[in-house]
Amino acid sequence: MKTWRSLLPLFFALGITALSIAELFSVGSGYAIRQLIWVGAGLLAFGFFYKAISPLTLRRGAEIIYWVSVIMLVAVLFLGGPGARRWFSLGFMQFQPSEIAKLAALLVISKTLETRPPETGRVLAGVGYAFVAFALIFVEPDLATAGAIIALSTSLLIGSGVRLPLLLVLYAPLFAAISSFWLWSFISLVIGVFLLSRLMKMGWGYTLGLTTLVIGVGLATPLIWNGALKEYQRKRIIAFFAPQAHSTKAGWQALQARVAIGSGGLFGKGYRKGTQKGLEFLPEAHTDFIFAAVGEEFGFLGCAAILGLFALLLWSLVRAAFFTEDPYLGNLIVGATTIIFYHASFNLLSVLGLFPVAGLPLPFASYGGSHLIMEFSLLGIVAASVEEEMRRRAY
Amino acid sequence: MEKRRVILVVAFFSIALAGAFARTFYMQVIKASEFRSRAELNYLRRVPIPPIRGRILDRNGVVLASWEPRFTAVALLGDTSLTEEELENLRSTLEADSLSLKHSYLGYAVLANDIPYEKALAVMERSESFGWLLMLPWFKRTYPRSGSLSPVIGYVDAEGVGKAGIEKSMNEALMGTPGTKYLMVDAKGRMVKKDIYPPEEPGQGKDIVLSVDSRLQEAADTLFRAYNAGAAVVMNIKTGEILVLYTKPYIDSWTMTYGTSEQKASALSAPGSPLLNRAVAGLYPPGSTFKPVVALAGLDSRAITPNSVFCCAGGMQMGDRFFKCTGFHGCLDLVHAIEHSCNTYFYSVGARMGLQTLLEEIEKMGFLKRRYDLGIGGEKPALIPSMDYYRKNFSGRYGGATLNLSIGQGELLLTPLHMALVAGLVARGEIPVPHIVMSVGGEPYIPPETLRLKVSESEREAVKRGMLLVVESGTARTCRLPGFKFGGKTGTAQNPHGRDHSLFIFYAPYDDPEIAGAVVVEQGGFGATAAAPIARELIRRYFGLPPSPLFIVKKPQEQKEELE
Repeated sequence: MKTWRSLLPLFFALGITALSIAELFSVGSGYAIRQLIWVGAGLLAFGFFYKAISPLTLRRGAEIIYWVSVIMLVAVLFLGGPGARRWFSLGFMQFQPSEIAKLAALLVISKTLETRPPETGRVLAGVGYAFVAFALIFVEPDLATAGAIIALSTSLLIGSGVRLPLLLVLYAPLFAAISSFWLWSFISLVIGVFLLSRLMKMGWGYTLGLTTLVIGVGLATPLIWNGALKEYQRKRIIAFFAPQAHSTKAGWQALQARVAIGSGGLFGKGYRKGTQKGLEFLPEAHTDFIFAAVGEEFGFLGCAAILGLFALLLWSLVRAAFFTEDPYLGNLIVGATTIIFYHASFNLLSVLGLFPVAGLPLPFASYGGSHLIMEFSLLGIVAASVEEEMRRRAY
Repeated sequence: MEKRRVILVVAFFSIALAGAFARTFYMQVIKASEFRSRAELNYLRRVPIPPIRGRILDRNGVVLASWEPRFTAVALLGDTSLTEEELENLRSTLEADSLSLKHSYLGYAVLANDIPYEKALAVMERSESFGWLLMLPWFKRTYPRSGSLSPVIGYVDAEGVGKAGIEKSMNEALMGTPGTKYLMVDAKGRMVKKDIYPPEEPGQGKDIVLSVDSRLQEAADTLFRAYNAGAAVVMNIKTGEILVLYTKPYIDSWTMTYGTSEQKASALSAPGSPLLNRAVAGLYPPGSTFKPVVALAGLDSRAITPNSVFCCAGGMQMGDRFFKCTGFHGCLDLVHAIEHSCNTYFYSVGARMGLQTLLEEIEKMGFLKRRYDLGIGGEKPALIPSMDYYRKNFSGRYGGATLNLSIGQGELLLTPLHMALVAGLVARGEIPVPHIVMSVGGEPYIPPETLRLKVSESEREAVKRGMLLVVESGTARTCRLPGFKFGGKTGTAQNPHGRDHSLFIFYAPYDDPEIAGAVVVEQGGFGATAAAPIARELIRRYFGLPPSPLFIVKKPQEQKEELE
């Protein structure tokens, strides 16, 4: 594998960035120019993780980095704001510790799960690391970002070869709790878990234990939800988890985003000719809804280009993951891929109206410094991991 | 990394990307037009341009109601407001005293109304400094010749909807179609671009041509100068077209359309019920003008012939009451009874017929009980008491009531329009239904039917001749026109509230009559005193006859003595 192969994801990412900056010039050239500066900072971050610091150095410091980020997450709960306690205001920009936490969690969980397959103790340690970061981000509250930690840990657990029976035990209660709100989904889950456990030939003890766990959690959840909680408490919890679920403003935004995309048609309305974006019917056109703005002005061709670049980016990252034999380096690539595509998937699905508005940026595209620097850093780690792998093979 | 595991990890993301791609294709390629119209709903603001109301013309093409181009200054501001400087700039360009900032129901602020064309032009020439301003055309209703035609024309309200008269009854035809201006607004409702599509120009409504002769109507107004209240109707009895439909007092269309509420209130509260259109809704006892009807009734019922003679000795005794005549007429036939308006003769006709027959004959004539919808509003049928009414109120003793009815007094009430029809039917025997709308948008109105008398030609001729003699040598002989023969009949309607009303019905000329009419002058005294001279003057002007040495206008007192 040649050097340019390790840089391939960066090229595709820059393609996405270039397209989005073109659209940002249409939304407001001020945004575009500042975004260019952020891209510069992102490239510096990429270079830092690619050349200045080896993944192996990061591995050594993973725990320290993780705990430092945890301290920052705790600090932001007390010192952050105003509003949701997610960020520190640094004057010229807002700094979100959760962005660091994603990187830190990636490093520390990748290191923890570097045996193939990981022993149960390591699995539990990995889950523990994930849970602490998840819980701290969750209470900020920032459900969407906390979800990235779950996605990251899940990917690493699967990627590192944790056996399905163990994964099932870890995740079944979560699925049981969620599915218990809809009868048929819960029944399907119980049957599914039962059949799956029989297929895995883990013995009747495992099957019965797992099924009992699922049914127990599934029955307990509605009892707690309906019995122990009062109506206003339930509403508060819903509002906390999904602040936009019942807001007409969020519904309006989501509708206007779809109208923007659909009305773009095949070739788009043309540069700076978008009515949804230009006349402010489409809010947040420069951040979370940048894909809708592209869709309106550049049409299906623009959307297909962005989606195509994301597909190529995913493909190049998967190739890098295939190529890497070292479990730690492989974990890093799979984890970085997960963080980037967790954001990409939920951003696109919510902009296209297939998922509630999550409030996640589109990687490499949405206006904003923190997420851009974090994403380029991830690509830097990926590139460095591929280089490291290549160096080992050369010997 | 183990490929299987990696694929398991990225499976969800691949599916999400594929789903996003499919969804994008669906929205942008398959459903694009739906979304495009949904986007248009957001930014497209349709602003209606008021329609151009059709004109109203008289029979000679004189414009009675028209429009003038004016403009309304409007701004779509959304949640923003104009700066003091911008407002002041506009105010000075328009030379307006002040600008309003009233937000209308369409979400735009109306800054100024009724802007004349030149001032609007000044604004439009400086469009670069008034980019936020919209000059919407408005077609101001004007009434160049309203005056005494106002009750016919009617008026419109502030929205340009007809509220009375022809303006109301013909509103739909006059209205026209509104135009539309297509603007682009942003999410906050601010105008971003004017005319993103070419505007749809408003359509002009249909012109209405009325049969009235504004010149003759205005002449009537002048002739009524000396009187406070009354009405005149002149119609072409060959066509049924109404030439004059005059009522006094009246309120000018301008006042009702553009007057302030105080001006309207004072106009409406003026004495003499100015809103009552006396020509079609004023109910008067017809007095002696009803005698031709009684004559026709007698002839039709075979109670009399044109040659029947009754003798007048100053009145008739009915039970314990003596019913007076206007004089001692001696023995006369029908023609001369009409000439001298002999009450005794008509008492005798009524007595010979009996109340029931008389009422049945009037009923058979039909035209009196009809309501003629001219489109003026408020038209009323004549009030003819029924037999039941007499049964209830006269308990079997109908003698006096019969005699009163025979000379047009009592419970009987006619509008001037119905009186004119009496004269017209006597003159021609048949008249197309009276109407005032002659054509709508160039399409002529054809009267659907004809009013007819059921008496024989020779019998009708006798009554017609009687009416000629009224003017030639009878009660209205002071109103003769030298060298021109026309028929008429004077009448005096008892008025419990003051002086009698002066009535006159007429047809002209005697040979092949062309017009017929009725003049009512409230509190004008005897028919020959006030009403007949007005009628004579209208006839003279209609036929373009030279001014003739005028009748001697006598004070009512003198004339009364002369007649008695």
